[in-house]
Amino acid sequence: MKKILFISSILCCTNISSINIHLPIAFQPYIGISRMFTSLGGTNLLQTGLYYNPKNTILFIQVENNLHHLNHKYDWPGVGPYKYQRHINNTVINFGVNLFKRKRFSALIGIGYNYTETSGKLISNNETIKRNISKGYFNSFHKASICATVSYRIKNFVSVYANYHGFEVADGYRTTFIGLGLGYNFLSEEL
Amino acid sequence: MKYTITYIVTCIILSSCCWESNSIVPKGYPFGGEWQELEIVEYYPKIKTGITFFHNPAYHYPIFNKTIRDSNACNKFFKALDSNYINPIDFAKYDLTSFSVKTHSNSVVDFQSRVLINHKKEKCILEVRALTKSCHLFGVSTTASNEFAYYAKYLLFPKLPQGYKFEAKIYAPAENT
Repeated sequence: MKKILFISSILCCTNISSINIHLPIAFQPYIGISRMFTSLGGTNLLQTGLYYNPKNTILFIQVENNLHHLNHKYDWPGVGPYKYQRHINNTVINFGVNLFKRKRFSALIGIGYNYTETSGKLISNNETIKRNISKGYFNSFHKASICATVSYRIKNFVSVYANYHGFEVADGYRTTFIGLGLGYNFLSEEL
Repeated sequence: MKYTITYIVTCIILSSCCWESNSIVPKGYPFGGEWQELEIVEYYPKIKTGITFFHNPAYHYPIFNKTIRDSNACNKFFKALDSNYINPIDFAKYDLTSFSVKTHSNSVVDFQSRVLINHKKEKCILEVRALTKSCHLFGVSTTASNEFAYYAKYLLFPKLPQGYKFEAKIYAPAENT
């Protein structure tokens, strides 16, 4: 209920007539929360990015980073508690087309190049825990992905967006990122 | 000069049509969720004379996948295969799992196995993945083969807490063939 009130209050505060949709977005830095889904579960990440739409084209380029770096607490029954540091960093460069660049609602589709880095580190002084759990790992890989974004300009300078990009590392390991956040618009002066 | 460029471009196009595929997950691939990897040890069962226990895992396929958590079950399982089996496993510290994988004989390069634990779901999973390398040329794959190879292993992993479930997930190109 609170979420509905929050969204409706944003929409009510929006003065639609003040929006000049004929001026498309040139640059848009954005920030939000994303969730990485794998076959074994999901992880929340901080999403930051920059969107750029060159003048008089429908093409766009986008650079985005998804980051997770936290120490998680666990408890092994009968042995004791321990911490495990999990680090995930995904950087993606997307290219594609903006289908409705002069509308309040825009849709972007494209392809991307991903660099993903993951690592884990066991933090514990318990000898049994150290014997039972791998002390850490590091892994990095490059993958091509497809991407899609839908964006809604709630004010001239503020947009909300939802985005997606996904790739497959191996059989059964489809990895998907879904993000949600706010962007600040620098408008273009193109005709 | 013109022909050289044409030749180079043709070579690039043709070489890009053939690529190697690789179905293994790199060790440490992000598990997503609250998973950690357990330390595992390969186990080679032995008989009284000290010789490594031998049997043909293909003979037991597909009922070979089994998890053993106590000495009695362990003795029963291995002595049915060889009556001279001796059991040195400390089941206060370890559990034992065995698995067999079916795959195309000409494509397998290696296997990877790992055991993951999730304390929030009170669950443990064994993942086995076949590393395959093959060349796909214009849609024709060299992995296609009517012959199968079987691969089996015994693994010791830390004793699971009471009530934790254990599940095996096997990813191999011919597993469901």
